[in-house]
Amino acid sequence: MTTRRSNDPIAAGARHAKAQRRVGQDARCACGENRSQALIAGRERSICYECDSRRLGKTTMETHHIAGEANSPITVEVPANDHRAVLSEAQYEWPPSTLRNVDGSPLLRAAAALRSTVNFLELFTRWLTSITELLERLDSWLRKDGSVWWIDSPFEDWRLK
Amino acid sequence: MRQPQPLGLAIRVFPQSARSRRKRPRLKRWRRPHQLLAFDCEAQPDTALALTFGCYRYYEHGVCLEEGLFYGDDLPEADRSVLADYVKDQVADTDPHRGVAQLRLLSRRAFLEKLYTVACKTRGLVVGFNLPFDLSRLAIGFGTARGGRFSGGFSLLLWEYQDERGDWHIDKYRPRIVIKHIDSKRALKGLTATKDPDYVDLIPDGSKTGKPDRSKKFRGHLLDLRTLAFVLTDRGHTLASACKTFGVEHSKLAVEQHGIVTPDYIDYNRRDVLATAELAFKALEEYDRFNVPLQETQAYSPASLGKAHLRKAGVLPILTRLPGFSKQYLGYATTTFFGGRTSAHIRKVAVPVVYTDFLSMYPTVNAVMGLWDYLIAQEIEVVPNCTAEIEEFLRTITLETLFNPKTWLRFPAFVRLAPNGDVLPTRAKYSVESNDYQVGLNHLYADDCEEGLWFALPDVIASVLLTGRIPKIIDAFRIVPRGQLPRLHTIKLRGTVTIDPRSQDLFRVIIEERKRLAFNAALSVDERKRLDKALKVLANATSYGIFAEMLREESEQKVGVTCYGLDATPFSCRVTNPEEPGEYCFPPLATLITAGARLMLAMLERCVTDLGGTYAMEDTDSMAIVATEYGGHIECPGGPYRKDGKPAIRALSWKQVEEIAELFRRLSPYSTDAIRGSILKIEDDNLDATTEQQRQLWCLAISAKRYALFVRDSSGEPTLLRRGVNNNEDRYSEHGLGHLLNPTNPESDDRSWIAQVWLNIVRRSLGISTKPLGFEKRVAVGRITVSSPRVLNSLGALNVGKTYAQQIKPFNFILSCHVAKLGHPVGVNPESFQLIAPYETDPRQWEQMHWIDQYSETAKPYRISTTAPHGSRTVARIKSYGDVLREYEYHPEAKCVDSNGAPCSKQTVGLLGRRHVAIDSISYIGKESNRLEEVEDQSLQAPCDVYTEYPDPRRDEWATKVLPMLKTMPLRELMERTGLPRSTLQAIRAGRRPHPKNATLLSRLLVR
Repeated sequence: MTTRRSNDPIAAGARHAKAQRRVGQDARCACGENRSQALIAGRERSICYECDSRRLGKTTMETHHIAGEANSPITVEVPANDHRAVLSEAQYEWPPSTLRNVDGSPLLRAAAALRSTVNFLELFTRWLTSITELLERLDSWLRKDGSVWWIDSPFEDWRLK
Repeated sequence: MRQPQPLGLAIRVFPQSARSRRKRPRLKRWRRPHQLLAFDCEAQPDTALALTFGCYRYYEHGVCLEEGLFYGDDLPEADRSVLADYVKDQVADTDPHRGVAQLRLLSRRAFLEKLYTVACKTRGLVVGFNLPFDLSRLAIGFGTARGGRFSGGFSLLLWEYQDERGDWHIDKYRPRIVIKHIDSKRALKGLTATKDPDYVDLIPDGSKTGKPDRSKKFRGHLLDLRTLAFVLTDRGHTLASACKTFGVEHSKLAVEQHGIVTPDYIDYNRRDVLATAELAFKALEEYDRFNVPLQETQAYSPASLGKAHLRKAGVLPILTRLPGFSKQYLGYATTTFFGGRTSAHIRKVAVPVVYTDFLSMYPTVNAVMGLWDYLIAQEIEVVPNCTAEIEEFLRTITLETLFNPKTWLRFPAFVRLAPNGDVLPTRAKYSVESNDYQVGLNHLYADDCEEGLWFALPDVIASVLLTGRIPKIIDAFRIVPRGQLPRLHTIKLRGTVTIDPRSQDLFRVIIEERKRLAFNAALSVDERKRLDKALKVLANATSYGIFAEMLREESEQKVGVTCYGLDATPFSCRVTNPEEPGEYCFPPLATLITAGARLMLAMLERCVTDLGGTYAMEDTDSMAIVATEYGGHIECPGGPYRKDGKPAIRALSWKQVEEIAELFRRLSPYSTDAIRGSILKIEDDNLDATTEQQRQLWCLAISAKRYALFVRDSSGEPTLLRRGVNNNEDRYSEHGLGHLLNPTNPESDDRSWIAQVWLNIVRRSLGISTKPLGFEKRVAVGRITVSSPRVLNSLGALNVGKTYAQQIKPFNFILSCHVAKLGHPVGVNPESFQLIAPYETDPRQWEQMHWIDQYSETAKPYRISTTAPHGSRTVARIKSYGDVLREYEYHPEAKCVDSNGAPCSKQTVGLLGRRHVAIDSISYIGKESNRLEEVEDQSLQAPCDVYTEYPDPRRDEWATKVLPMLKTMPLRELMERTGLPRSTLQAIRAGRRPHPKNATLLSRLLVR
């Protein structure tokens, strides 16, 4: 289950379940990636899109239509796994009228731009959250023998004065 | 000796169907989906019970993410507005961070999209309480399920699509839901296969590779909490009682009026769904504690849970691991199978009693006979030709030796004997009126029956004990366990009680641990209660029923079956409802267990009669022994003693009963640190609820399973033993009345009117004045469920021209009534005539409505009357409550005789005796206790609906009666009187089966 609020949790749950079924139960790439949308279905050994690209000597980045193809031709390069597991998944949550914008409504284009920004912020939030968690765990690991690790270290300048 | 009465006996047979397709459960562990959709529908309180509105809640990982309401297609605009206003005012009760805040309002179709997504695409759990009823409200049509285990059930159409013109059509690319009703607590449910399924839909559940597999059908995860609650508690529940049992925080609310859409009613429905979802989590949590490799959606009874434990312990089903076990001996053992001893012994005379009960009778008997060794044995050897050994053993039998547990270890044996007045279980139609098979313990005679009958050794021992003589034994065999199964594993029951199947008897340990719980201070009171209940359920589920399990198939065509019975060679026949042995079915164990239980009661009977006493009734594991505090004589017609010049029986003293109970302590297989007392308990019913001092109980018995226990005050006024009033349990039977609607308020589930009925019966027996019940003249009507397309088809005429919503649908309620004697309409077959009508709660309408014969294809309407002298062409004279209650009160104990040796009739009162029965013929039948609820509510009348008969050409009337007589008649005379050619008659006399026409001709000739 994603921690993000979904407008249609039942449809989101079905997408997640289908993706999970396609790649098999407990599928996980050797790199640790276990988001089913980021794994390639039908492989003997589970592999994620980024590792597969790396294996083939290709770039691990994919182009993402930030506001949806119907709203803007602008694309950005994003890591393949996040593209599939986060950004594309997030666009499923958009109202279909905004994502498809059949007649090119300027207001819907603007809405799409804002929605894509929100999606990116969510992605950044996840990255930043994972970095903060890493820092906190590292700090606790360095203190495990009771030492104040930053004394006499190159990091001493960062301590609270 | 009394003249024995010839009766046709029915005995069980071990069948092997040529079309065995039942899949064995997989041992694979199942990962429960994280997604759960709980929903509940409200219906119009009319005959159609159409959907008005409903509510759903969607959960992932136990967190509610979406809540919404949905409404029926035909809901009036005003009611829709109430729903629309409601959702505007209210927010959804979902997770504040991740859930959808808006309370949704959907059409039925829109909700079905959600249901489809969760059930088929997500493969989440779809949960409801009485799910078949709710699914039927949502459907748009139904058909009959064909083939496989759903055969004869309903196939519900739920999903449609809209074409370009806006018309709706059945969506063939989506599944149907098939539902096969088992009983009021259980139904098989599943999704059907679909046309051109998506790639992802073909990937099996739990696939590690994600590869599609067309051979595996996805049946859906439809979880009926009514079934799960039954599995976990062995009791039928309502949503309210299940919530109470499982400690649900938000239990069911009450509502003043059903059917009218108001904010209060919507609140009530939302709360129901919340309660359902919480119950699902609680019940699944409890289920997980058992930690067994069985998907909860596949668990249909406590026995499913029991079998899963055995599988987990590595105890493979005996016939799976020993497929070569002699079918001939299985057949012999199956013929010895009978249910428990149940009978009224003193009829319609209120007598003072002490109510006694054996501690967990079947697990106890199982343990005393050491049957666990057979379950874990590597081999079970049949030792044939043990006649001399068994005779020798029988000569040593006395009451004293039977109280030695070592004697019981020698019981796993079967004996073929030629009964000559021996007291043995007999299954026969003792009453022409009731026309059903009953098991009685009677004096059996088979002088001219050369090959004799097989009986389990405990039954033969009981006969020796009761008659004092050893029967004429023709043959005997023992079964002996050899070795031990490899790969047995230690298991933990409900995560608490560890059992090593290699060294511990599962049944014994469960009972011991149950008793030890009372002293386990480490567990909370609630946890102790739940564990106690769980262990009780497990012990009963694994110790007997699974060994006798026979699964009856519904089929429209006859299927070839090979049957193993009394003879060394099997016979073949074709039947429409063949049975298949269940997974753990092993008739020798099943029959030894019930025979052991009957022997326990025979020992108790002997202990009582040795002291000159008697008993009022017995019921499988209990006996009401006639006893007063100090003993003495009590007037009773048919009694062997005299009191004031009148026949009397002797009441034992309470002390004497205690001493008898104490004798059974020696047979206890249990560790004394767990169970200190005897296995024969003086039940708590005998103790005053407040003072806990022994009180004088009284018993009034009418017939088997129809009895009441009561107390009397100083002026002699009786008060029934009632739960929550003066006892822990109700002690008056509902058997025979339980299917009728409450006559004072047909919509109420309150059953206290039955207590009122019993109290009047008791008062009449005591000669005390009674108050009129006030409902005697009302039409006796029962409520039954439309459980199969066959029932619904007979109501088809009422559905013509109506939309599905307005039709009588699957799992709706309908009314049934019972035709009085001579009350059948002219020209109908009383054998198969059952009046049913759409559900109506207003009794004033019942006599105005059109009723239809369930068995008729014409749907001819009838009216009913309780006052007409007899039936006419269009009117059926049906029974009033007064008629039913009179029949109930005078129901004869047909398997017994009165003190003069005449069969017990309606008027018989007093001490009953055993019948003397001669074997007139023998027929083979399957399990006779199928579809018990429908038999009880009398919605099934034809015997073939209840049990399967397996005709053996060697034992039918032609072979046993007509042919022997034909052989004695001169051929010339036969030719003259039948007109048949000599060669034909010679061939017939040599054993060739004649053409049915000729057979009838010859039979009639002999009758003349």
